[in-house]
Amino acid sequence: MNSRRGFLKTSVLLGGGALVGSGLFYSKLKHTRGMAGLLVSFLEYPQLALTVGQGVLKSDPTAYNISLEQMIDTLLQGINTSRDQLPEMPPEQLLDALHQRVRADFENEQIILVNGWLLSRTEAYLCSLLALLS
Amino acid sequence: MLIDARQLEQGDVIDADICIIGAGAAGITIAREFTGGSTQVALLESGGLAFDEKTQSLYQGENIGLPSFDVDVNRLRYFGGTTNHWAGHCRPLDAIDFEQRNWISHSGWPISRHDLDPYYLRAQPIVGLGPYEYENLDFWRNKIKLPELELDKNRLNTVVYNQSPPTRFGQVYRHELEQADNIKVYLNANVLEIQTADNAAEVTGLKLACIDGPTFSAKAKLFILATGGMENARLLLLSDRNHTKGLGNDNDLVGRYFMDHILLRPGADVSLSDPNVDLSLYSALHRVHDSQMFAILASPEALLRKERLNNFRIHLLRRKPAYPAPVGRIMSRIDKVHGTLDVNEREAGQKQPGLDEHELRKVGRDAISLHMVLEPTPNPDSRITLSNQTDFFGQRKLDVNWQIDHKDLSICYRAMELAALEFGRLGLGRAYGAIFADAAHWPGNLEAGRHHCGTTRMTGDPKTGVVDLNCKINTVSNLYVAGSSVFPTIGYANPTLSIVALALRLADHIRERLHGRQA
Repeated sequence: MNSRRGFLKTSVLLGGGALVGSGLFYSKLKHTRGMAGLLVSFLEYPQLALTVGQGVLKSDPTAYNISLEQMIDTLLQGINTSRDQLPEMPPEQLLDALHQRVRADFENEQIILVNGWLLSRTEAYLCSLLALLS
Repeated sequence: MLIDARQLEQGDVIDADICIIGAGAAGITIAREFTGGSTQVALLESGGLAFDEKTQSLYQGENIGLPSFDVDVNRLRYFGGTTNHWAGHCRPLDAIDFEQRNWISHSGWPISRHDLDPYYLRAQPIVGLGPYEYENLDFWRNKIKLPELELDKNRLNTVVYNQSPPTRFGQVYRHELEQADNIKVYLNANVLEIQTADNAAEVTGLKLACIDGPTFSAKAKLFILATGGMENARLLLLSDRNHTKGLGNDNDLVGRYFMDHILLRPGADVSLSDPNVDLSLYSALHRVHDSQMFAILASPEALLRKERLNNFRIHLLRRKPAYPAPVGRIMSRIDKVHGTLDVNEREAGQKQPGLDEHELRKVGRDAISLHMVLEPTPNPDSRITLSNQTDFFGQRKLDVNWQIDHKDLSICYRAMELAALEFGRLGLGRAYGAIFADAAHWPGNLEAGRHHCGTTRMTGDPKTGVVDLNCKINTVSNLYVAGSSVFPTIGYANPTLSIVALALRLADHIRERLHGRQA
């Protein structure tokens, strides 16, 4: 399962250690950091994503001073879901929702400029979520 | 017939029906239109059959404008002119380019694309191109079977560009001109002055000289100035014996509105989230029978009107990207890129997952550069004037003051933004550009397109232009101008095809005029 592997990978980056066993994996999702970890698990190259996220936190007025919870809520609102619904959401569905949201961002010019990159707001916030987690 | 003017006698007089000054794309095209007929044509070329340093030095001038403009290296002064080193990119101007657009000051041709269409059709083979199928992408795609980007057509379209071999006019058409009894090509013949009657309303002759040879003159019924976007203006300004401002310059317009395409190479680089995406329709040259084509991105007319944009094109090229890290690859999974699993599998086994320098360098090459070509806003303060320095003949050299409108920077930004939005929307990658980091200043890689236009602009009103819709100097009865100096706006297309089309149109007009006189 790709999302789970991504979750494991990101957890290592964040110093959380490997999570063993599916029960622990899904129970973790009930906590804020677990939800954040799941969301950022769809980002490749976490170290690079972290650098981008730090840039977003510095430059974007919405992301500046935002809490981890608020950032999660912002992202979940974008894909019409909630913290309660997230643990029940199949990873493929979550990935699809993020994919659609990012595409819609580019369609609607919901973008953020960070260090010369033009990114969708959703993906920029995903990167900043990683920075907040770290 | 080719004649080395150095073999003429001092004081000789060339006598012809038409005198064409300059044997580049325009001059050679016009001369060829008269081959085999009874009209006597003298085609006067400053250089010889090959590059010569001394002759080329007659082009020297000083750049007193933007630092990104090079006066000397863009043009070539020998038989065939600048076609001796042109790249060969071809496309007609768009219909909107001819319009008076209320969001672009000083825009508007007195003719339409419709007026030029038959001449574009005739120009196509002259420039060495195949089928005239610029508006029919499927014509090409059916043959080369390459995928087209599924662009939002309200933002960007895939547009056909043609590629000339490129045709070196001097080489390709030399034999034909040599064989024509009624065409005399004078090499090493430098026009120093266009001489007029006292009222400067009619050209009476040309004063010529060779670098290592005699001084002589030329007489004709009609004269055509075809020496390029800068030199056309220079010769008019130098011909100030009976008009202190220069010939055709009653309204101080000769040399003004000097334009060149605004280039950002690149305007942005796209870090591809999918390294396997096939962009070769755009990034490579494709041969179809005797033709070569590639595709570019350009915005539809409706968007240009809605957002009040100058016309622009974007080339997609495989180049080493300028960005520091391949951010597009972060989004591979979100973009649902096929093959992402391989990357995940590799990383899953790493103790320190994430950035691996070797991997980063490797995927960093998965990039496409967006090269931007923008139509400039005509600017009367962008101009060519005569300097106080002189050339070999004691003729005043050029000062070139290329200026661009600051408004054009925001259009460059928007063009790059549109491309970045589309690459993101299609899940292909993310764009990085200096212009996204600093939208208030021109990026350091701003450069001119080496397409010199506008210095003898064509308008429908003598108060606002130098030539009329037939390319005749408004105030002179028998002097015409050929070449891109007559373009009042230049769209995004490379100018050579339009130069040749306009030359054909001018040749038709001259033929009619002479025929009328004979009749």
